[in-house]
Amino acid sequence: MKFTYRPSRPSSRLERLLGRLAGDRPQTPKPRFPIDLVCNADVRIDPPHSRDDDS
Amino acid sequence: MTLSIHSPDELIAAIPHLLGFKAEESIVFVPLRADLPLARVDLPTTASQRNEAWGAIRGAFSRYAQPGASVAIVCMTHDQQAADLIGHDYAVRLASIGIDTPLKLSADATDWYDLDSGESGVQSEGARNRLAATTVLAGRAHPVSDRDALATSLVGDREPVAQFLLRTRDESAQRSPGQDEQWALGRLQQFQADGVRLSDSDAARLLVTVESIPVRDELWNDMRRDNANSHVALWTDLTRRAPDEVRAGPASLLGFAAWQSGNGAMAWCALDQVPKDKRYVLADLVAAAIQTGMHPREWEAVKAAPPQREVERGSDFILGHARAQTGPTRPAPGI
Repeated sequence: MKFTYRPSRPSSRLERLLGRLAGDRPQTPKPRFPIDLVCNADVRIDPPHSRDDDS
Repeated sequence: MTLSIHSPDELIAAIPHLLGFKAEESIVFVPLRADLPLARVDLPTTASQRNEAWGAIRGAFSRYAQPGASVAIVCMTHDQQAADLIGHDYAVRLASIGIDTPLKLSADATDWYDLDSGESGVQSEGARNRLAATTVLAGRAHPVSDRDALATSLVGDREPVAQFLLRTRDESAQRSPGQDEQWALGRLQQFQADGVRLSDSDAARLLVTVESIPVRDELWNDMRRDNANSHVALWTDLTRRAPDEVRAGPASLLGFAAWQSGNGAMAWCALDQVPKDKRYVLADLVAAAIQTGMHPREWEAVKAAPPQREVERGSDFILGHARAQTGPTRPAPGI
């Protein structure tokens, strides 16, 4: 089964904006199980001795 | 949210806080100092499932991969043999698009294991406490027990607000649209200032008011990554309390806010609360953004651009990342 996003007549400026941004992407197969994508996660692997320097 | 991790133990302790729930029988890809997304998938135990999961995440990873990009692979399972097979399988796949995997771990309920070195250790209470404190300070909610609990947290008692809807609609019909719009913006600002849960009558009025697309867009336009947590709190509460007829708007706004704040699982759970009986464009759009691993900063870039440059600036952002990639710039159509 293909992920078939269609703009479905966005009716506002923000919808059109998001539609053009999100719609301008390669279609991906819709998985049969949930896939959770999280953005904004930035994990740093630091040496143990730097622990006290954390801000 | 930036987390400083000093050991495999701490990395595993961080995962529930990054996802918003405790993942079991899952594989988690944790970005290490990069703009890559963090991804969680139910543990794909067959080759077919691994191919399917890879097809779904490959685009998001390859789009944002830059030279030196790396992720940690963590298999949350009691089956060490499966973890070893799956962890190394995905390490090879990620290497094919230029992403290094310097850390490959598995974790059961009590211990962690390094899939490369064979080293192991106990998941310590100290690491859990430290990461919990760090993430709470960063404004993250305490993780729930599992993904189902996250979905359940969006279903509340919807009868109290339902009892106000008819009267609220009658009162709204006697006001000008501008009055309701002003009220909605003011009510949003009040919530952002005091964080106090809306009364049933205010909740009903806001839910009826956001049925108007222009008003809903005014509230949507207020969302930024620096106030996304406040929007998540407001729309979570209203999604919990909204009867079916007025839930598409708040659930979609929650989906967008959750995606902006970096909580993909919550965003999916919010979209699941949009009633299925009629199509709601914003819900479809948010689903498309999440599904393709779009980074929230792309939205901010196009929203901040002058109208004639809106989409072009977003494309510049994508192309800027694509130019820096070492792997394929985009997956083949249909992947």
